[in-house]
Amino acid sequence: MAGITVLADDVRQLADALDSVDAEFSAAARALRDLTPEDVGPPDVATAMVEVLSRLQRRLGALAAEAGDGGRVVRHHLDNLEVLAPTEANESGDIAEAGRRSARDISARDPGAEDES
Amino acid sequence: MRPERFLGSDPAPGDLGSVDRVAGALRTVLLGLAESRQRIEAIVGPHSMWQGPMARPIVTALTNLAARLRAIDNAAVDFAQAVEIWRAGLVARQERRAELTEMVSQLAGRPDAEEQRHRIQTDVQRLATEHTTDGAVLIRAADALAEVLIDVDEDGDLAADLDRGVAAVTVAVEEWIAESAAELLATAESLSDTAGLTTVVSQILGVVGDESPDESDSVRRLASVSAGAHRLRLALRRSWASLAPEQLPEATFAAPRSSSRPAISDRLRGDQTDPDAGGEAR
Repeated sequence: MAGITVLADDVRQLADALDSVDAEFSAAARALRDLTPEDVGPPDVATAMVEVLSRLQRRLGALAAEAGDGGRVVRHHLDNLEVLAPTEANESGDIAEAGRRSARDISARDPGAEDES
Repeated sequence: MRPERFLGSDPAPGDLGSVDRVAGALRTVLLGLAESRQRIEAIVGPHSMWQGPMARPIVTALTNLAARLRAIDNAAVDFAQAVEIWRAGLVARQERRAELTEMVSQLAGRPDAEEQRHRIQTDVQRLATEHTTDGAVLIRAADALAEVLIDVDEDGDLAADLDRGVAAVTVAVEEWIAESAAELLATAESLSDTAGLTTVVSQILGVVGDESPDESDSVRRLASVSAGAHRLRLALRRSWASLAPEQLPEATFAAPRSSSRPAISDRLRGDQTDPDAGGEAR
């Protein structure tokens, strides 16, 4: 189960990265939305500026939503992994029990092995 | 002083404050794009945990996302540079516009200054042409960015790919732990030579990913704390004290002919035949 704990760390990093992309792009999209670039230059320049910034804002918003959805899905798996991840106490119990099981396996496979150790 | 009143029209329209706000917002966007892309690339880089066929949906989805961010980033950098150039030109032209406006205002009420007024109007015309030309450059840069923004529109489903990948890796890790624990202890306790140990460890750790475990810190870390590897360490600690001969045998990957037991690699493959016993199974 310790392997699951380590996997949870990696899954958490993945979820954190996606959440940060979501937050970053949401903030950038908001910053673009608040702009009023209608007077940056002559009418044709202003029109092009308004159009491209609006398009960029929509694309960043879509990327934020995409990353946010991904982060939520990954975090859902993380919740399950954290339920699986053992406490220190029950992990040592798990290892002890697995050790006993393994010893029985060894005896069954190679009756001489335990004598050697 | 309104330039239209003295020059007939404004040869260099544009609000510097608005341009600065656009440039500032673009800097925020560029920082966000670069940091996000680097963070995602680091997650699925060559030394990441996400290796092997099970993790492929995650790596592919995030690599595609990073590629899209890079494409937007590159185009947005070009556009931001065009905005900076536009800003510099706007400042220079508006300064010149102010000078010309001032000159024309000084000539008001002087019928003898017609020639001077004509020269100023020529300068005003030249200024307006320059403004239009620079504006066209900015429009082209905006169009280029808009084109990239359309191109990076993708039909893929990042969330679904991540869902599939994380679920597959979780199952793979659970299976690895379940399958390797008993085998780890059994083989570790019956190690008879250094070569056998090398073979066992690399085979066991090879279950985690396609690459050599030495190439991935995450894999090494996973192996170092996983239940199976923990038991291997315990077994080795217990075994070496009682099992190690006074002189260690020479390390070799060949099956040990002098030993009455088959090589560990043979035992892992399921070949339990004792070569010295004439093919008799143990």
